[in-house]
Amino acid sequence: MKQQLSALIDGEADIERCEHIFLAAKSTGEVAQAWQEYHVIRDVMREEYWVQPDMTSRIMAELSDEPVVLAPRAAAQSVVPIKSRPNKYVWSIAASVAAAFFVGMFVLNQPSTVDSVQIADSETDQYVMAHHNYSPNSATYYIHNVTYAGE
Amino acid sequence: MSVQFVIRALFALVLCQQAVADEDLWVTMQKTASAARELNYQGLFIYHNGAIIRSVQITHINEAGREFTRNVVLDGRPREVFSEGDDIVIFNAKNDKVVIEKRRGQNLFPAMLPTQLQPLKQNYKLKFVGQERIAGRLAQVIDMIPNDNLRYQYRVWSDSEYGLLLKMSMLDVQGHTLEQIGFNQVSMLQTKDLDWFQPKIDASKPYVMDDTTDLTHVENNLVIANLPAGYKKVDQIRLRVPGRTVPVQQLIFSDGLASVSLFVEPVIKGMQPRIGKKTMGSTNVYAHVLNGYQLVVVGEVPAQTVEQIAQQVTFKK
Repeated sequence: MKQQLSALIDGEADIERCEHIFLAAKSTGEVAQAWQEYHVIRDVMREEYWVQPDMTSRIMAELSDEPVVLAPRAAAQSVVPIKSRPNKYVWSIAASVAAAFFVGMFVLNQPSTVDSVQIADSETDQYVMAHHNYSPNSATYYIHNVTYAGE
Repeated sequence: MSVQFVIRALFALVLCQQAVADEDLWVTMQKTASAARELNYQGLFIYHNGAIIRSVQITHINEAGREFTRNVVLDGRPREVFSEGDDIVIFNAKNDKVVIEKRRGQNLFPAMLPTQLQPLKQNYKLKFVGQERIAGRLAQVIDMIPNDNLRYQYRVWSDSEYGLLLKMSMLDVQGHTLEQIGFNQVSMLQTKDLDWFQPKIDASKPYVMDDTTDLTHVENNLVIANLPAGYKKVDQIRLRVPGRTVPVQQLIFSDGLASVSLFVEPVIKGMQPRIGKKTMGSTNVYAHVLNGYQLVVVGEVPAQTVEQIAQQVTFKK
């Protein structure tokens, strides 16, 4: 499964034949985790990341978060010729897997305690937004911008 | 143009209206509901609600029964909405990051009419208004007139040839337009190519998931004795709202087209309970406190509908 996922992210697999990966990603946390790891690897393999100095620290930070998985993969990378394979499906796959990953996260992470913040006076806006976000008939999804915690 | 010609034309129009029987209009509505999901098209549509105006670019393809849609919001903050079947993923560009939201199936324009029209038949009557040209296309104009004052009136413009919903508006009892959404330009697609089904990714930005919603479907001891006529509970979910320590329950009701949400949360220490009503364009809000719970009802329905739902809530012992 992980090899298939790796191929998918590298643009080597045919999107038409990968539906089971998405389904699996939705049902198990393992694939979602693997996706995240391979995503980091793929990012590192793409040369343009290295020409952006500010990206290096972020990638290094992510590498330090994933020491077990990345160490063996790094060795494998040295024998693989690094060339970019532009594939029009890659990002749609990323989007799909990202969505699947999100579902997986809910299965894995039960809600933990949320930081207490003073409730703003415009709190009815939050209700209106939640209504528009989750009601079955809504023409208004594109007028709202998510109020994101910490913003 | 002679007066006689005008009179004849009007007479012909009246005959035409009579000819279009009620059942035929529902057939047109069914075609309109299906066309948005089955056809391949792209275009530009505008959404109006009060002072808010947004242009959205849409591409939709149905490939062997699977629906792929991309909506790119062209005004305001960059936002891209992707849907594949019932799964909706939204990419929101923020200052230094891209927030990804996950949604469940919604009836988004032009697929705003539900494919199951039976609930609508119980709550609305159809009336043929005439023909109008929208976005370069000839449209049949049909009014959906509510049987009571618990919901708004809708006007539907359906493409005469393809049945695609070209425009839809919501009107209050006085006939004022509250909300309007419609194509400025639309064309049918011949291709089944999916290379457009991808967000504009900015590789320099981190992508983060918006995790404020826990889509667990829950049951609780809440009872609503008399829902407004024609409304049914369609869903019940739990929300994690930033700044709240306790999840908020959201119950969703629908008459097939209009929807209403009821939010329930315990009033905890330090929380200011809210009471009152508010109207914003087509949206009505009613806040109420009951048995130590804050109730907030929100919907694109008349004020009395949200009030009635809030007043009917009780808690089982």
